[in-house]
Amino acid sequence: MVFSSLNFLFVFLPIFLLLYFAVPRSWKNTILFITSLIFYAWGEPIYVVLMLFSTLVDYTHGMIVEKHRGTKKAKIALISSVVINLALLGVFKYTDFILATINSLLGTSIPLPGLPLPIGISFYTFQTMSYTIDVYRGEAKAQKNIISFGAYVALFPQLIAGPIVRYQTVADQLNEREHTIDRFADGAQRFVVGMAKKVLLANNIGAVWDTLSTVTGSEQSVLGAWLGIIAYAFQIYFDFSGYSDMAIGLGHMLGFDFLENFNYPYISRSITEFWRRWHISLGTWFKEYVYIPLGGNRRGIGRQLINIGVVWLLTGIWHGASWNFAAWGIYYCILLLIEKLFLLKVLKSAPRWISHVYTLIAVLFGWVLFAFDNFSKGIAYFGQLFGAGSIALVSDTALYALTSNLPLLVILVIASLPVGRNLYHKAAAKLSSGTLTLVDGVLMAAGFILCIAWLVTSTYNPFLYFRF
Amino acid sequence: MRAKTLTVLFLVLVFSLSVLGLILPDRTFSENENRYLESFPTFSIKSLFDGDFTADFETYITDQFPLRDRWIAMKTAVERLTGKREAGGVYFGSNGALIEKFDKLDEEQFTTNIGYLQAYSARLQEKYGLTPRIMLVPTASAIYKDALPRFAPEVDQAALIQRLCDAGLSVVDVTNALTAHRDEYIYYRTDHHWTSLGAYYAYAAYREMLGDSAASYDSYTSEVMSNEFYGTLFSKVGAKDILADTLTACYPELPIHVSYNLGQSESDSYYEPSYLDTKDKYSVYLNANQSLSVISGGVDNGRHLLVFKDSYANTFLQFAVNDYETIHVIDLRYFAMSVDAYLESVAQSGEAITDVLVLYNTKNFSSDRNLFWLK
Repeated sequence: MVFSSLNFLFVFLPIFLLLYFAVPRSWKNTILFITSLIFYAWGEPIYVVLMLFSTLVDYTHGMIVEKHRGTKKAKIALISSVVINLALLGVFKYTDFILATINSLLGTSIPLPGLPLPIGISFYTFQTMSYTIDVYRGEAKAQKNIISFGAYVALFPQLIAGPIVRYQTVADQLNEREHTIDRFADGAQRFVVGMAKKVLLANNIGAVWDTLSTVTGSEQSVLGAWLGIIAYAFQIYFDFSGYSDMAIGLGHMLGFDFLENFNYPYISRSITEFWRRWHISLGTWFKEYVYIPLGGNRRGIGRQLINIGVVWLLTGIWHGASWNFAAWGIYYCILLLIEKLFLLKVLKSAPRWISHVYTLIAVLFGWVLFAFDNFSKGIAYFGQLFGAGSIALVSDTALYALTSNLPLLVILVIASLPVGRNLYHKAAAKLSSGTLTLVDGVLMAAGFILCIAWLVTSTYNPFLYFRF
Repeated sequence: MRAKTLTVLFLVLVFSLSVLGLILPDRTFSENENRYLESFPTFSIKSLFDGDFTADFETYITDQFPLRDRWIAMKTAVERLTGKREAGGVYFGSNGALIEKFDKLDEEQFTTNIGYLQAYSARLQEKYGLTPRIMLVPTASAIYKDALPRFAPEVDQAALIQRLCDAGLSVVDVTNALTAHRDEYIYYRTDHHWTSLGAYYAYAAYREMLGDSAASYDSYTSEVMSNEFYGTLFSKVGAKDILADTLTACYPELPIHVSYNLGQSESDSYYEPSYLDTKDKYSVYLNANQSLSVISGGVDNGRHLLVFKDSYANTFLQFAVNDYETIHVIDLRYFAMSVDAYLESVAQSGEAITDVLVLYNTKNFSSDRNLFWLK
């Protein structure tokens, strides 16, 4: 199930809220666990077993690690947990990719099993791994209560698309958390903001990308290619950060504090900064559980370069089982290394607009790599950005997409900047509490109602003149 | 205060619509969308595990959502406010009409279809000495280019028609006639068809090409059959503020008889008024689209017309019935017999075909896969 569906909003959510807030505190995790399983099983009626298996594995491993803390047994249990989780991820996400690569390298024709990817497996395997590792490192206590642990793994707010909640950030709240009306209100507000980002902004600009990425012949143009990849950049940001907002908001309503996952990435002045602002929970995860264990920057520059390379190759591959994602990771790795060597200093002293333009263009090129899992298509699109194939500078298709989406594009630009938030905070400080309540209420109702209109229309599919 | 208000507001929004959804009875059919809405899916272990149940349930919730049509109208209205000039593949023309988009040409199918027509022309010529006339009717977006949103990337329909001429086909040009009368009511505002008047101008051009003349439009006995016609385009955009269309009948001058699908049903009228009570009102002309309709008129001139057509012909033939003893109307999308065998059987009946007309709108023609049957 996804949050941005009528099904979630008007069937799952009301039933869940009734149950969750009706039961006494000691039952809340049980409700959370069971409803989360239903939430997951809704889309994955079979693979839910896989998630339960992962839960059970890490629950037992965590117990073993804690019982034998400081001994070799703890280390073995840790390794076992990591191996099992990575094996799950490997089998269900990368089998086809690995076999296809082998086939193309060796000219073999091993049949691909074509296993469908279990929803959210990249997120929950990373979370369960973080648990065992945190327990091993003594950064968190083992969770004795399997229901509470199950609730952590299956926690429906962040189950499907993150943020990746490391165990240590919610360990205490799993056992003891506050449910207040203030938290609920803030959470609900955040949820509606996220839903509006996803439904009203991301989906609409996504349609522009869908059109422009598939045009052919004389309709193609340089303007169309640039507009297309800009649309894609907006789509992926508002889709993903909108989902994170919804997750954080829901978590807040239930008494959890998840860490922020995005922080206005498109205002960055370098790629280094961009990755501190984009998908923060993933970056933190790789830093905490890969980069630092590999030795980070403590074992000399040579080793550090290798570590950075490993982290970025993995980051790339994590995004999808295809070589273009690996290339995307390596692309960022190279940019980050160049910045580390000298560019960062140059960018700092350069005029602001130069560093902004550099970063945005570098990110847009990155999205071209990311968007096409077929290399030749990606390269062809890249060529179009520079007029390859002697395509026109502008075409009606591009001009039409631009003019008919101009107001949307303006909204997207403003929403990518912190101005809206700053304005809100300034206004909030000045307005009387009554006026602020009114503003918040109107915005929430408007956002919510517009989202419903868009969601209802998603199946608006007039069946016209069945015999035409 | 703020927290309480927002909390209550959020809960009211969520719960009121959930409860309303529970209370309101399910609708089975949407007039506006002309389709059956999803009903509560039947549960089985199998449908649960292969994901059908949950997928159908989601469609059910969305299809049965309270005040569905109003939400859809709201979306269209908000989109128009933010500068969008199209919805659901339909432009909001600056002339107050809805205009169907035709922005993607199926080049391969179009070329293939020209090939089918060429082959069929050659065969008709060789066997019967007949030259089929090809009438590709431009859709409204070609006639009202200036009413489209700026830069709207539309297919050049005139160029498509020109390609038929270049392929050596005998093309009836109706673009000029329609363009000349573009200020008149020749296309519906809410539907993708042309009106009886639009079809009349094309008919006049057709007569002229044959070296004949057409009676003036006013000389026909005409009658308004409905002025509450909301057509396909209206449904597609889901907007509410477009004027309804008028359906006009231009009655044949002599009594006629229509036999549908080899006597499956018979009628003494060109029109089927029962459709006027439904959404699908355009079907009043020639009883929607039948695979084979044979119209026999009172006129006694030895001329017999064979028509291959889409629904655009249904208004056109109102006028042509006055010029032929019989008209054999074949809709290749539903016609299951061999075209050649049918033609042969007509020839043997002693009333051999004297004229052949192929009538499609350009959009349909360029994507239709059934011209294959002319091969």
